[in-house]
Amino acid sequence: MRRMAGALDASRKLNLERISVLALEQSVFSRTILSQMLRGFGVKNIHSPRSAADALITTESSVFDLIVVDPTFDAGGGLEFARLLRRASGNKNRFAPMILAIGHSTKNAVGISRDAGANLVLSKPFAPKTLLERILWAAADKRPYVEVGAYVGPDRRFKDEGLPGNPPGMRASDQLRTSVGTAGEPSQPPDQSAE
Amino acid sequence: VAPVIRTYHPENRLAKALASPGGITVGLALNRAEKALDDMRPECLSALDTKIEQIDATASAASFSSTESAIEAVYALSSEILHEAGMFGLAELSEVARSLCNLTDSLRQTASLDVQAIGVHVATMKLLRRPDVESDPPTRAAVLDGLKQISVKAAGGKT
Repeated sequence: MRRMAGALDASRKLNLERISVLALEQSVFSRTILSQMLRGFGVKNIHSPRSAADALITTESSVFDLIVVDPTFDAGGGLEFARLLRRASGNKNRFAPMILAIGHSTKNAVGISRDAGANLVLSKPFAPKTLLERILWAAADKRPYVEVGAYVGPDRRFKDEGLPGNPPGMRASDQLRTSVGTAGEPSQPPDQSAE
Repeated sequence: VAPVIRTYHPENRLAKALASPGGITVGLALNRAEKALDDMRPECLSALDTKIEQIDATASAASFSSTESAIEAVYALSSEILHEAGMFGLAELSEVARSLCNLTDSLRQTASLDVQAIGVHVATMKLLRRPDVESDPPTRAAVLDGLKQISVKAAGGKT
């Protein structure tokens, strides 16, 4: 193996054969790269609609266990897709774990992505190991989801305890909850303390 | 008035699936993903060259439909190169693409196409893709350093 598994336990078993992934990437090659990595992990069911509108329609008829979105997908429609899905009452995918994969990430872009309701933000380029770590983190995320004002997404009051296994060498920019500062809109009124 | 907070505790289907019987080890999963990427490498590198040419053509075309659309096109292409070059270990090329993303992002504010600055980035990317440069890490580092120095000078000249 060219890159080591690091803190990921190489002997740990995982079963991703039965999950469905919605993968929204802008370019053909970025889409193929993501799909090939996921297939390597054992994922068999990957949907890649060509537009944000098609993606939303797809979420109305299919159930997804993981959503990976480039915010720039469909000329910025990726971010809008994330917001709309989180606010879509009755949609079975409304609270699906969502990773936003950002190419040219600015501090502002990461904050905006966080406010769209993503569970995690992942900076491109990323190695297969990094993607797998984030998937495991999304699976281990036990935070409830909250709807308050314009924000719908994971409850940001909960303390970030890092990735499973707390792997060394992770880029600070990959750690959503430690890199984005305060939310654009609070998930609780300031006079209420965290539970 | 305090905003209404609704809290939900949905089932995490991903966690449930991960823990189900069967599957493969993390080591095998990573090996297979790396192998799949290796198989894609020649095709992706060829596509990178095409994207560099597209940026060149976009920035040098006298009749692009609008400055805004040209900026967006260059930004989108450089963002793709940033990711795809980085995926295949072309760290310097990825860095140049990041620099071009920064540049075009700033050009959005002024809605002006700095053809000269884009051209320097394109020339640097083409240089990094030359086989003799690509196989020589010190030269690649020097090329990237050269671009940084030009960028610093250019920024200094504008202030």
